[in-house]
Amino acid sequence: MTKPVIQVRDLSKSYQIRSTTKKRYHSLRDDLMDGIKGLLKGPWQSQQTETFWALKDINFDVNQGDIVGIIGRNGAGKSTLLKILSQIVPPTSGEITIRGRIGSLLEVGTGFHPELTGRENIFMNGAVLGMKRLEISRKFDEIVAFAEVEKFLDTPVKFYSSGMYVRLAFAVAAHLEPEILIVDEVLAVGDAAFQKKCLGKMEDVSREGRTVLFVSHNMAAIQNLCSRIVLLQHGKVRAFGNPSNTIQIYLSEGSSSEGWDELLGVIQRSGEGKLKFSRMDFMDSLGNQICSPLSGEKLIIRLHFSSFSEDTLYNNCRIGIGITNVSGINIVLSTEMICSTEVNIRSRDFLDFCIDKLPLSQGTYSLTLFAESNGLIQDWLVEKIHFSVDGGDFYGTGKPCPIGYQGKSVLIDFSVTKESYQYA
Amino acid sequence: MSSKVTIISPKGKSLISSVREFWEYNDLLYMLTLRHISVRYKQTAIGVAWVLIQPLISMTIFTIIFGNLVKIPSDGVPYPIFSYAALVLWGLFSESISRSGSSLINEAQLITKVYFPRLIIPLAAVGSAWIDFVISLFLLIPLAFIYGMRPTWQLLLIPFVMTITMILASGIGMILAALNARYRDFQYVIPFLIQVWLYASPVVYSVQIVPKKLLFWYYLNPMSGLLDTFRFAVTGQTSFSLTGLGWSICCSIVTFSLGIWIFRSVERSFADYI
Repeated sequence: MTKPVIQVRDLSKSYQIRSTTKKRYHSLRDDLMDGIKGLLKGPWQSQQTETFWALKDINFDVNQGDIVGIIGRNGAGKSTLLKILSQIVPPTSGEITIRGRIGSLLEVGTGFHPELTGRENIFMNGAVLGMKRLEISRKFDEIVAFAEVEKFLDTPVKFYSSGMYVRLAFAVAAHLEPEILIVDEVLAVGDAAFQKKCLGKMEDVSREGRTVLFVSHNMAAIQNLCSRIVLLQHGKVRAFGNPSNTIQIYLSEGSSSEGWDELLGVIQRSGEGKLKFSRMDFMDSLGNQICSPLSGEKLIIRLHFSSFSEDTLYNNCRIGIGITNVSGINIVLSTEMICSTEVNIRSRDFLDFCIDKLPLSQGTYSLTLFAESNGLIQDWLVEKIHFSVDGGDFYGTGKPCPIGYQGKSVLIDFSVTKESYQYA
Repeated sequence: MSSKVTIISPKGKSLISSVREFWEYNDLLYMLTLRHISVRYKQTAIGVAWVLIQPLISMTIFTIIFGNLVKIPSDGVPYPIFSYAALVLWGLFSESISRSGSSLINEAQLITKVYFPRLIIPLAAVGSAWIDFVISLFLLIPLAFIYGMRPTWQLLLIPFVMTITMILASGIGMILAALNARYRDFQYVIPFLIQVWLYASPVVYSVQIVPKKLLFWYYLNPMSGLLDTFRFAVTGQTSFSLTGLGWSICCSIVTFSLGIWIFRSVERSFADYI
């Protein structure tokens, strides 16, 4: 058994917060004044500081060839962890042992200068990432071909389109050959084709036996790529293990904390905002509230509304529900389905959306809610609600849906017959 | 799999492993220096000629004011070459400290996103000032020739003085860069510091006009000895103080070591503060 390539032991990182806000930089005057104040008060009266633990007692091991995903809510400490692993900031306590050459990509195009040409920037960026000039010269043609910018090599990158810029930057990074690669949300930039290219490259990297650590909010990418996942919560490791279980924990806890009861608390939403979704309930056929529905069972999704003015009636509303699977693909869309006739809604009203036989297989999904009144979009929550469907017996055969299809496929009723189908 | 083992802990790295690591990244030092230079004169019509024009303009101004109007004695050397020689070395010194002093802030983007030995940043800034210096030498030597100086062995002093000046400037630059990263106040202090230092050094005037009994104090400024020697190296006519030069060498080494020590003790926290 070889030793793990990354060993994290009791790692903690704290920041001192003065008063309520963390100071980004000090001025000499402040420090002098504080010093004088300190002297006047005497050393026994210490200053009002608060210690904020961005990371606390983190422990985990990563083996060679693993692709480890790091997930967690904003502020859970993901970026801090990557920064410590990349040696950008020092830990407050604890120790990390890394065996092998590390390359970290916390940003695409670090060291790029807009005034420099594509050619110059390739060398600059390569050097910043720790490549030798010789190494870059050797891979130069490959990098240029990957980025598809041959024609513009001697143009300053400030004249590049943003797509070209990102492609060039990623091309350099992709040709870095570390044994351990640390990647932060790089996949969040660029168009779909580019993201696919990035993911493909990461798979290649791991196939070569190298180790990858990456942070992402893209659960589909995480689930497809990673062999293990670290779930961080408030600076601690909440879970560490196989992807589907860990994602399950992440999603289920997310929904209880910021999810369905308090939809008004969701900040990222679009629309006029006069009429809003305030909460959502799942109910079974008996009207009991449930947390995760079963596939094949009756499901009622109850949508509650609220509005600034209690009495305003919102006419001709169209309410839509969309369900997105873990790969980010919309599998159910129902703008027209839910209300074949348009309805009028006022504050505190609710609508029931009934599904007789839930066609979703076991897995995790996210929900998009949409409300429109008189052709004006009032509220639009895109993939803000995560829920999981538990395996039920859709076909009444007692057999579960094949694991490979779980969370990705929709179940439909069908029949198989050896005789010719009896057409009506 | 390589056997490279990295240990990340609250304690910093040892001096030896830092030096080794610095060496591994020497390509980055080269690239950053090059970037400074190419970015500086991009989109200028005359490009690198600015390196020559800047001290020439200063020389003209100084020649008119101090040479012709105030008539400062210049040790028998034509005033233009007298001041230009000093300005070239002074340019190396002042540009080195001002560029390296602000270098960490200017490269905050890099510091918060990638790891490399931080010392490379201020040193690359000094490197870029050095390239400017080398370019201005190409004008200085012919200029000295035109004014009747004949090159002799003393020209060999130029690289020596240059090296000492760079060591001194790097030391000061590292200290200022580290302070500037923590206290932005130094952004405003550095230009004044350079201006005061200019007038405290024999750039526009000769050491000869400094009263004898103040000479000891005057030479405490490490740039005095260096400028003197440099002027001698270029013209071969002025005098310089060996004691002054010796003191400058000691000062440079002490400042450099102090700079390294200060820089190293705070470099790990740069990304947290910048």
